Amino acid sequence: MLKVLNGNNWKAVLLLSIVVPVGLLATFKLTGLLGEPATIAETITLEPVEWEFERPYSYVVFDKLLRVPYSNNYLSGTFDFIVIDYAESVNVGFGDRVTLIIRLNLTGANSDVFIENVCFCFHEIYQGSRLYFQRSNVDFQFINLSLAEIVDGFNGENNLKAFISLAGLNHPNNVYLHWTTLWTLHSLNTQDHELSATYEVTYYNGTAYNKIIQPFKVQIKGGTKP
Amino acid sequence: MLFYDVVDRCHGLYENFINCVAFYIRGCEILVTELFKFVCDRWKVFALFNLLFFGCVLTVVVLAGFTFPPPLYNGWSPSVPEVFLGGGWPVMFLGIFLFNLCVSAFVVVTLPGIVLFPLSAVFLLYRAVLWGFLLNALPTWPFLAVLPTVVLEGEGYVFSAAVGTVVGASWIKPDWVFKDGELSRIDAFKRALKEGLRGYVFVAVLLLVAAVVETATIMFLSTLP
Repeated sequence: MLKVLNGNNWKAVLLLSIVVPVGLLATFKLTGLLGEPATIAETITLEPVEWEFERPYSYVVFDKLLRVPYSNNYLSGTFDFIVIDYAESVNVGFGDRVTLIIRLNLTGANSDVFIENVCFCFHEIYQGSRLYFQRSNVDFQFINLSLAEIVDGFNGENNLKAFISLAGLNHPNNVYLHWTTLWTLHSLNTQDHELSATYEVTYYNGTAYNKIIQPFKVQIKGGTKP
Repeated sequence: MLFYDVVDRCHGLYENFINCVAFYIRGCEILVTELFKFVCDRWKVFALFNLLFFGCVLTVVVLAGFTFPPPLYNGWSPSVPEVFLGGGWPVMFLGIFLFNLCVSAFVVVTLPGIVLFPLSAVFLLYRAVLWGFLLNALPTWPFLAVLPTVVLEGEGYVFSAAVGTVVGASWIKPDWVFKDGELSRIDAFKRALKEGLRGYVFVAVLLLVAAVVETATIMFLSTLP
């Protein structure tokens, strides 16, 4: 068949090979044959969970688990925020740090449901503090998720200290994540702190995309010299 | 006397100007002829690659649209590496052009083809599949706005794949590429390389225009909610 075409025909084929597919693409889109991408239909913000402790003057283990079990017709699981310990620095308070673990475990109710992405954001008004996601293999694990973006150790707009965003791998029906983070305070022991952590989960329920937001808050009351 | 001097000088300047314009036009003519010579010699390869590339984009968009759940659209964000350069539109334009020419066209598409000629087509199709999925995730207006960039940039990659295939095939099977006489592998490769360089000027011109259009499109889409 190729030999039958002469030079002019090939020019026509060359032009048509661009014009026809691109024309069809535009036509399919304009006529609605190719559907529009979806947007988030509903956002549900859950009740914030708070915990407060007085700033110690020594190393203290808390192992405080803030757990929110969640369930609806499409999705069930838990949002965990764990305050592991507080470590006092010898460096006049400026290296004091709190170890935290973020944990998430979600499963879809049926095979049509999948988790699109999850995002964790940390905010604190106090300028000097920083938040770091630990990078060694024992400090994090995620299943059916792929890391999209991770930013930490900075003081961004709207007091954003760190965030991490992960995308669901191949439309997963269940996802799991835990990640150890260090909250370095960079302040004297008398200084108060208040860290807000927000878990955001976007999932597809078979017909539409929904988002769940779970806020956590940890407050540290500045200590008085013992 | 002074009047005639001025007229004479003006006439001289006019002649120089006309000569310059004629020289410029002749230069452009030679350039365009040289560029199109490569295209004219390889019509079949270009037509086939165009059909493969744009056909594959169309197929992936349609299949993805009917097979997978609708993708989530979170608003426009230019999530391609060459756009994250900062420094305003001139830097963005330059970044897009250089990245597309050096990395996307030469390193990714042409170079593998020179080593093993079918690889150019494989990487071209891989890009078509990626673009298909990206296009599927766009609402109508951004979709239509990016189509000119898709055509121009896609055409640039089609040409770079053709160059890679021709140069790559020349040293494996010289008679596939050059029908006019028996050429040794080395000679065929040298000749194909020379031809490919001419073709790459065409790729550069296409990607330059594509970069202008892409920069304008990104700036336009950034204004959308």
